[in-house]
Parts: sequence; structure tokens; C-alpha cells
Amino acid sequence: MWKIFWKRFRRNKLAMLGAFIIFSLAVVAIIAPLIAPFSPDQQDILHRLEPPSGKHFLGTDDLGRDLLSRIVYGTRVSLLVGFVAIGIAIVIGSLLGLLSGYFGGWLDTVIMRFVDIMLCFPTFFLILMVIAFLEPSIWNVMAVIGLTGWPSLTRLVRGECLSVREREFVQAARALGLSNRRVMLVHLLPNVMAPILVTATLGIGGAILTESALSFLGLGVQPPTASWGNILTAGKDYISVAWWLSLFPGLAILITVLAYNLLGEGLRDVLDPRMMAE
Amino acid sequence: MLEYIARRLLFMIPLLLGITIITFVVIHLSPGGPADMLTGLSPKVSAEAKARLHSLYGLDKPLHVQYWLWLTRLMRFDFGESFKDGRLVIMKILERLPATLLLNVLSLLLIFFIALPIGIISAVRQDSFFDKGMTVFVFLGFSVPAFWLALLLMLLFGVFLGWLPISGMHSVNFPYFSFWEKLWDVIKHLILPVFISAFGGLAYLSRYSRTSMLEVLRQDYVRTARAKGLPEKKVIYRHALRNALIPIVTLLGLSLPALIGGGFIFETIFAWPGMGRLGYQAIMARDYPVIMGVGVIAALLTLLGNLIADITYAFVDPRIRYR
Amino acid sequence: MLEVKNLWVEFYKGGKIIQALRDTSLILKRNEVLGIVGESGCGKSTLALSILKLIPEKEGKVVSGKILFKGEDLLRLSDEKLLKIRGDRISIIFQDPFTSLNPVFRTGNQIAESLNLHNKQNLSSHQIEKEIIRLLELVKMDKPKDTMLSYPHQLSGGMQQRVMIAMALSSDPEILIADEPTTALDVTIQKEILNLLTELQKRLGLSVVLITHDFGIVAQTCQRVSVMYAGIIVEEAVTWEIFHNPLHPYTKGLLESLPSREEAGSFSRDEKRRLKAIPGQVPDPSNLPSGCKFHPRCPKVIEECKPQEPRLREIVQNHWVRCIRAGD
Repeated sequence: MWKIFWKRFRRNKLAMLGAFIIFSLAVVAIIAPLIAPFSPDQQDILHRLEPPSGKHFLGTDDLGRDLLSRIVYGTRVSLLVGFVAIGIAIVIGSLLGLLSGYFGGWLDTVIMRFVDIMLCFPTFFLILMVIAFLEPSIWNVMAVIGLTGWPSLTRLVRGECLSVREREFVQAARALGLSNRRVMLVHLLPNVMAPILVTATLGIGGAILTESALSFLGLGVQPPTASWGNILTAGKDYISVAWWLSLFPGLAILITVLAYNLLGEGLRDVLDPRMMAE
Repeated sequence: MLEYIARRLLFMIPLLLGITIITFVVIHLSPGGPADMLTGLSPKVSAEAKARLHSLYGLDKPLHVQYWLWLTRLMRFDFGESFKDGRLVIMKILERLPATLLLNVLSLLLIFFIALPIGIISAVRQDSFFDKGMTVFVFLGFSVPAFWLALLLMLLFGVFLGWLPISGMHSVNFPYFSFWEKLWDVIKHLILPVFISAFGGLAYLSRYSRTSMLEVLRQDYVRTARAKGLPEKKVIYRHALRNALIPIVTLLGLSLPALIGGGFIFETIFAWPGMGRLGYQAIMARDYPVIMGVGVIAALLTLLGNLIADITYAFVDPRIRYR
Repeated sequence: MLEVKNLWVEFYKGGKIIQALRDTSLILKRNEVLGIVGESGCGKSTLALSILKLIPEKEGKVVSGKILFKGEDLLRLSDEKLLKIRGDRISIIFQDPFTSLNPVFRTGNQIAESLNLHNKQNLSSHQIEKEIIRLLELVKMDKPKDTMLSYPHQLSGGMQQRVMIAMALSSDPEILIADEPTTALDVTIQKEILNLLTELQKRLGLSVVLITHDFGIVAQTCQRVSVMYAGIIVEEAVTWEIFHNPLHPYTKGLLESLPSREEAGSFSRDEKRRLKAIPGQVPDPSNLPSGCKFHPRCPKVIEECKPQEPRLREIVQNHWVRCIRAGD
């Protein structure tokens, strides 16, 4: 199984590229202090809004901070938000989806109606609304993206469960008298892992986009902590004098999200059960 | 058909109730509930507004009573008054709504009429140069932060080239224009916001139409159409397209929440005088009655979009119409 | 009437090439019903589709061979000319009528489309409507006017297949290819549809290629039979001859797995005459055995079967077999 997976995965060049970028970003995030030429918070009012140069590769911002260093540290925020937020969404979404798909009946009805309601809200506004009531911070951002990101996943997992539930091995496991919890965790969950994995990967990209948008609006990660989104806020204010402030953080977001999308779509192809069977 | 619409309408009632419950919960989520908003977070609130808010939420009563009171007000679109200027929230929203609707309807049309052909042609010429190019475009579309793209386009068209205005809905001297000048002025102001708010949907729907069309092209009835001796063009544009449209129409309705949600950023960036910008400003000013009002109306619009999608769905799919 | 000559067809799947038809030839005579029998995956549907060039380009293609219709090679025709034969002079009906009819158009519309397409006398819309009703009556629909206005999902499987037949006959074709026309239907309906097809064939003087996996159907309807195995024809003769003197071990196996009429009725209590299934499985088309493709499952296999595929030989007059041991 893993061998087939790996063989098929390696053949998918775009997915490999995505995985490589994500891996590199993770390394950058971990060893950020070693890579960043300056401290991300070190201000230098004399050299503010300097264009890219030999000293400041990507220029400086309105407070004279080194843009490259801030972007490097911003990697940490993006990865953290992406993983934690989607982690929350995955746990809730899979759990509700499993329960809904496995037990059916009234529980299913209640959960699915709840999902319908959640999907009716413009998610982004729901997030804005909640953040407005809480204090904007990276933790709240992660929690809120996670808590609003699960409904579509629940639907997906439920659908998969419904089809897997009727297959022989699940029926057999139930006939053997295994507890419901065991059947769900041991027999159902592994069989719905593939779509969860794909959605999670694509979801991380989405979460990073949402975080950057929130931070851009001043409702996400608060300065002075560097996040790609809040660097862009400054970029917007100085758009006519300092193009680098707008360009580079955006590129960072683009490349990162693109990497997750490439990996996610690649995984979707690779994990396609019709293909895996071959 | 009527029965179907009635059923859909009935189905909306629990959804509506759910939406109000969630909104209600969100208000009470803030530490200490709405009572706390009065003192802690919004020091600017006047004593008069405090009193009004107190009665609005019936804060001294048990939760379910509070909810009921609040709900009956909602049903009359009574969201209370804005903290900022004391005007009725519903009035503030109503005057912003046309701009938002204009933006969203145009975006939807743009998405539909550009993404659909792209998706269909990509599917029909699968693996062609066009298809591959569009796949790249779609991937970029998924990954570009639209607000960043908005900045870049403002920079390019507004600052460097000076072709398009970058904010607002009218020029300053708008009242002195002739009708055609007015129209042209609004169109110029619309181009960037519409493009940006359609951007995400464009990528998504092109991809989706491609998938849908590929799926349909594999169906037996397409083979039957060919077997009849129909020329390929008719096979695709008559037999396949009609079927591929069915899921796409549904999706279009479902993409409304994303559009409206995006409005909060894009309207803000382009200073578009719509509901989204109102909502954003309310959030920044912690103007709770307005936040609530915008939230409920946005959810309502979404529901309406879903209903329209359901009805269109029935129009394109006889299996729904004649059961 | 119709002659398929040395047809080779390949499919592409997962980067592999699959030989779906290998050197297949057959002749369909005027006014005859030719049965093509074989297990699923033996290439019989591929044969049906390739006659009308209906194999999607991305999935596979005809590598070589000829398909002659009245002396013209269909494989070499321009698209424009092909469309004047496909659905016009040669019609086809498929296995599953439910998925073969377009769900979003009324059945009357779908028939009208064929009529308009192959409209020889420029019928007015009123005449077209009359013609649709005539066709629906021809296939014995009770309420042709209602059927005409229905959508496919409102009809039962049997009715849908009748609509398919009406559509296929709307152009007054000379040849009808029926690809498992009853497999997807209930047993009781199967018989009705089969009777209808036989009757229409006689009445309209059609030549029919009937593709099926069911020898019972062949016995009822076909004058001649070709038996296919693993993309190749292994035996060919008139129906009576095949049933009474099957020469290929595969044909014998198929016939033995068929309950005889009496047994089917009385559910054989005689333990010795139980139905026999052919041992083994249909070979993987991407990985065919060497020599005679049936040798791994053949009860009479000898060493000589393995190196080379046998030729088709005429053992008895007009009875062709692809087996080196036939006639031993």
C-alpha cells in the first residue's frame, strides 16, 4: 500500500514540487533566527522604506525593519495558523462526520442540519464577527478558522462513511460484536483517511489565505509580530512609494498556498481509490 | 413545481432559526455577554444607547426569553440603533444594500459567463494547450490572495497607468455628469472591484465546470447522441452541456456566501459604499447592533441565493421538476 | 451486407495498452440475426462500438482492419459521410436504456431529433409528431402520446428500451446492432423486448447483430452465432449446429453451464447433471496468455496449444473453429 502510494506520488511531479516547497518552508520556520539577516523587530528609523539593496535584500518597511527577516519570521505564523486551525477543523469535522455517517437516524439529521446552517453564513463574516467580540490575536484567529472550517469536511466524511459502512468488512466487524467506537476508529476511519488528507492539505492553504486576509484587515495577528498579512497592511499605506512592501509578502503567500494546493491536488490523484487498486 | 418550491421554503425555516440562534450565541460569546460590550470594549457608548441596548436584549431576563424577544425584533428587521450615529441599523443597511447587490450580481454574471465557457472548452479539448493553460490559471487563482491582487491591480491601473479609479463608486463631480457620463463613471469604478470579487469564483467555477463536463462526456447518453449520427458540436452543446449545467447552477448559488464574505475585504479595499464595508467599519468600531444586522442580512441573502439556486436547479433538471 | 475484416482494436488504460479485439472478422448477411456470444470483457461490446466508430479517441482506437458496409470501408469515411450512415442506415441500441437516454429531454424530443437528422422527405412538425406516434406504436407502447411527453426517468426500464428501439428505427435503418439489449432489464421484460426485436426484424427486414452473454437468447433469436473469447472469435456456425455440435471446448463449457429447458423448469434433482461452470477466470486483457488464449482453462489442453494461437479452420461445412484439437 505505502509502496504503491510512494511510487505513484513520486511520478506526480507537481505534487513533489509542492511537498518540497512545504518542507523547505517548514525548515525556514524552524531555523528562522539562523536565516534572517536581522532581528524582525529591529527598527532603524534612519533607513526606513529603503528599496531592495545588498544590505536589505528585500528592502525595509516604514519603521526601517528588514523586510526579508520579517517575511522569514512570518513563515512561522503561516505554518502555525495553517496546521493548528486545520487540525481543529479536521478533528471536529471527522468526528461529526463519522458519527453522522455511522449512526444515521436523528443524530445524522441534527448534525447535517447544523452543517447546513453553518454553510449559510458567509464564513469570512462569521470569523470577522467572532473576532470582533473577542480580542484579535493569533490564538483566536486559529481557533475561529478551525471552528468555522469543519462543516464541509463533515459532509465529505459522512458521505464516505455511508458508502464504506455498507461494505462487507464493516458489516462483518459489527456482526462480530465489536463496539461501535472500535468499528468507527479501526474500520471506518482508515477508509475515509484519503479524502480527509486531501481536504486537510487544501484547507491549510485556505487557512493561510484567511489568516493573511484577517491580519491585513487588522483583525488577525497583531503587530509588532510579523505576519505576511499585516506586512501587507503597511504595504497598502505606502503602495505608491514602496512597491516591495506590497509585492514580496504577497508572493510569499502565493507560493505557500500554491504549494499546499499542488500537494493537495496531487494527493487527490494519487489517492484516488480507482487508481490505487491497480 | 409549486410543491417543490413550497417544500424548499419550508426547509428554509429551520435554517433561518438556526442562523438566528448562532448569531445570538455569538453575541453572548463575548466575555460577559452583551452587557460587557457596554462598558469594557466600547467606552464611547452614550448612556442613552446603553439603556436602549439593555431593553433591546432584555438583559435581566432568562436566556430563552432574551432570545425570543430578540427574535421577534429580528422578524420586524428591528436591529436597534447604531452606536455611532444613533440611526436605525436597518436604514443604514438598506442604503448600502444596492451597491453590494450590484457588485455581487455583476460578479456572479462575470463568473458564470467566463468560467463556464473556459471549463467546457477545457473539458472538450482535454489535455490541449488551452486546457493546460487554464489549469495553471486555476491553480494560481486558488492560491493568490485576492486582496493582494487587488493591491497590485490598484497599483498598476490606478497609480502607474492611471486608467481606472481605485476607490468609491462615483467620481467627486458625479452629480454634474450627463446620464451617459454617469453610467461610464460607475462602470469605470466597477471594473476592478467586480473583477477582484469574481476572481476566486472564476477559478473555482472553471475547474468545477471542467470536471462536470468531463463527467457528463463519459455518460452513456452522450454515446447515444453520437450513435444517432449527430455531429459532434450538437452532441456537446446540446446533449452534454444541458446536463453539465445542472450541478454548476447549484454551485453558483452556493458560491454566494463566499462572494458576500469576500465583500467585507474587497469593499473595504476599494472603499465601495456597500454592506461589506459597513460591516467592516462596524467591526472596527465595535458597533454591535450594526454587526448583528449585517450578519443576519448577509445570511438571509445567502439563503435567498440558495433558494434561487434550488429553483433554477428544478428548471434545468426535469428529474426534480417531475417526480 | 456488413463485413468486418481482421479488426484490431487497442485500448489505453493506466499507461498500458490493452488489445481488446485481435484479428476479428465476421459477416452479416441480409435479413439475418447474427449472435455474438461471450463472457463480459471478451470484446463483444468493443466490436459493436467500433463498427460505428464510437470508441472515444482518448480511450482506444482501431489499429487495423476494415469494416465494409455495402463495399465501403466505414473506417476510411470522412466524418461527414460517416454521419450519414451512423444512426441512419446502421442503428445501435445499448445495454442500459436508463443511462442511454438523455435525462433532460422529453423522449418525444429525442426521437424527433433522430427523425429531423435523417429526415428524407422534409417532414413538417405535425408530420414529425405523427411519425413519433407511429414509431412508438410500432414498439408497442400503450400510450404513445403520453410517452412522447414524458422524460426518461418517468418510464420503466422496459419502456425506456422500447423508446431506444423506436429511436433506432426512426431512420428506417438496414442494420440494427443490439448490444446486450435486455441485460439490464427484469427477466419478464427481457422476453417481451426480445420478442419485439424478433418481430420487428422480420417485419422490417432488418439485419441484426445481437450481442449477448446468454446462449438462451441466442437459441431464441439468432440464425448464426459467433463465439468470442479474449478479443477473438473462437467458433462460428449456424445456431442449430453450435447447439448440437459445439466444437470448441469454450463453447462446450458455455453450453454446459446453461440449464436446459426441462431442467430449468424442474430444478434438477439429479445430482450428477449439475450445472458446470468453466473453471478459472477470464484472462486479464492486459496480460493475455500465450498461444490459444483459452488453454489455461481448457479441459483438453495439450502442449501444442501453448506456443501459437490456432487458426480458424472450417471443420464441418460453414462451421469454423479456432482450436487445434477440434475434429480429433
